[in-house]
Amino acid sequence: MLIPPKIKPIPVDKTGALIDIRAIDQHEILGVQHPVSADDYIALKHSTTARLGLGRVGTRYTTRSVLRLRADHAAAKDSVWSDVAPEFITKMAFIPIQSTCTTETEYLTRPDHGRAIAASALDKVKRAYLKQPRVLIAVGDGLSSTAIEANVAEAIPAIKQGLALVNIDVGPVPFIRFARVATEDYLGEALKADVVCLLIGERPGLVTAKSMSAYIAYRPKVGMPESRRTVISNIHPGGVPAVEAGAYISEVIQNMLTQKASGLELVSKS
Amino acid sequence: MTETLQTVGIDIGTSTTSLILAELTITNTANTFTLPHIAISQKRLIYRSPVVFTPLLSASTIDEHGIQEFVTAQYEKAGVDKRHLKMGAVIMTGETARKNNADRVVHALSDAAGDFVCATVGPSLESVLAGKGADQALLQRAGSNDVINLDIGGGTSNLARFHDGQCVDTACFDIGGRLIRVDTAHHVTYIAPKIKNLIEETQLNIREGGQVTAETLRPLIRKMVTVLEASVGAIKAPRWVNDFVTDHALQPFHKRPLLTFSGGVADCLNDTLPDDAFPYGDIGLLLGQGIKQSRLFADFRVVPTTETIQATVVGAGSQSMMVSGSTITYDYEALPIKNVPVIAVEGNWQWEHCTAVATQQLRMLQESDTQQNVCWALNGITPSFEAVGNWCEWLITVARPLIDRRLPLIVMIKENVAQVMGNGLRSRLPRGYPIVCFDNVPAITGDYVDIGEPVASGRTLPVVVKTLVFQ
Repeated sequence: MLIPPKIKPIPVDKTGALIDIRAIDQHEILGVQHPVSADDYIALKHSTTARLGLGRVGTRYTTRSVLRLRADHAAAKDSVWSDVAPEFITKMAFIPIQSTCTTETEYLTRPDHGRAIAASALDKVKRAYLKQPRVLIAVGDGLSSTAIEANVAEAIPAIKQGLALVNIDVGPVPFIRFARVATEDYLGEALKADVVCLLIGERPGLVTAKSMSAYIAYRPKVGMPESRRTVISNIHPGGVPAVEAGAYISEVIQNMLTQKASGLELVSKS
Repeated sequence: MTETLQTVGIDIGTSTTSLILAELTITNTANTFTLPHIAISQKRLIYRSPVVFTPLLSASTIDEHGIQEFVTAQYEKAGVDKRHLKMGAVIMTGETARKNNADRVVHALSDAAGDFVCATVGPSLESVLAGKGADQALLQRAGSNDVINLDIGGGTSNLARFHDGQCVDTACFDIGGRLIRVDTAHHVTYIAPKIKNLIEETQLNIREGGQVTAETLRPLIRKMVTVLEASVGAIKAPRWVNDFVTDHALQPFHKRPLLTFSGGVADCLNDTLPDDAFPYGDIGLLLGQGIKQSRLFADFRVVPTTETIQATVVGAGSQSMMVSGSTITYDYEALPIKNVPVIAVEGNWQWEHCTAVATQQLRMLQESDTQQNVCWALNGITPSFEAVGNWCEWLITVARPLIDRRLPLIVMIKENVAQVMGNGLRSRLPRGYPIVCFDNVPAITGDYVDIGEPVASGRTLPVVVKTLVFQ
């Protein structure tokens, strides 16, 4: 006789619909059956973001582990393919511009187009600035739009507050769609800013799709070496909180203004 | 970036005094592409003094000069300059802390031992330091089994329960190896008052001046061990055990913990006795044998430690200092800060409750001295710009009496938001108002903190939290 395997039901909401399995905190669930010490195993799970203690069926993953892996992968892909919501851009009062890419596919296949900004788009930003800014903050969607929506609203006010303490005003913030890091060089040249800080979505992974980086450069020039950029990465709710990163970014910017350098050159000077 | 700093620990106990010097290595453990994270990456003992008998002038007075000479001589032997010591702790332990001039000795010693050395007295802190010094590797282990360290010295036994490497409870009992002392002919020269009572109640024939043997003392030793068995829940505590509680017993706990032993008696945990059962002129060996043959060994898993008699001093010298988070805000002129009481609030409390608690605590602390500063400890802060801003407003409101006197505003936060909170406070306070705002160091109301001068190119502050009570 065939005995059906005992499978725990997948959680459903009040209407009977499946709950998004990504809403379940994997770190609190131990899939291993009959562990010698469940408490110790959970403590081990808490110490890493790796997928430990998933359990198995014969030599294979459980269905739930596989579904979860695919769900996380799908979320990562979604944040690459989705756009930052127009309402979010309006709410933040960003100046919306675009790199020279016109489609998502072009952005992914032509990195060189994603690094450049057309003169017309730069003019749009210039018009918003009456005088030359010392510090320019910009936002780019990069590879994760989710990261931008999750972090910039916390990071930008913290950067501005830190700079205001040393009497530096930050002007309107351009938002660059289909942006790669080097777009900040075009903004820096066009506006003649001393420091440009680009907040950009990082390549999403299976741990988080919400990670953001800040690429900061002193007087960036188109075609300059990458070593002139200072990077602060891993800004996400499970990593460095965006609000504290913002305060730190303002300190780094002040340092760059004093040392008149960024990237490796800044490291060797301080 | 790697930097080393020297710290000192001095333990003045009931029977012995010793000193250690440690070297802590602090390193930025984060990669170049993210926020700095400075941590103590290595702790190394660089000097260990001999264990000497605590110099006393009489049964109730400590020889202040004797101790100072000892410290000076040991520094000289170790070749350290006290000006280079960044932090450290002098701890007066066991019965010594109850001597007439204990406070004065400790404070006078901070001058001889170095300016950044914090002075402390208190059985809770002693328990914590002994536990941390006994075996940090074991105590820092996360997992399901708690660890109770029993530091059994000359006059007291200090217990500390660790959960996930954090000390969660302490206790102290008047049980120790030198509560009865004998001369070379085994005549009793001293019996501690509480032991006298116990002898009387149990009608044993042991008195000062009388001769004793291991056999005649055994029933008394058995009683002393009973106190320890009851202290970790091996047996239900008989009523008389309460007489031996110095401050308080351990809170009840559920799961059977692992046990570790430190203190002088930890070196005496043997089943057999040598021919002379009193080589140190006390009952240390007998007590050790009694413990070894008790339920503490029969019913519990006992794990060996790396430090025994010097556990407390190693803890004081190498385990008391922490480093703050690495994104912080401070005014250099406000440092160092010594012995400031903590007022803690929880992020999930109602605003009114926070304000009521904080205001009442502040009033109590300022009752005798209006210049008394405090350290505000915030736990459970939501890392958002709005929430941090609200806390800044709240701090400036409740700390108004301190701000009016231009005392530095000292804030410690558990979550990683100290730099943004510091900026938030600065933008709300008059320009140049002194603040010290750091994170990553938890504290509760009743703790006292010392904050040293910044290390690691100014990125982090060395902090000592002196815990006197546990929640």
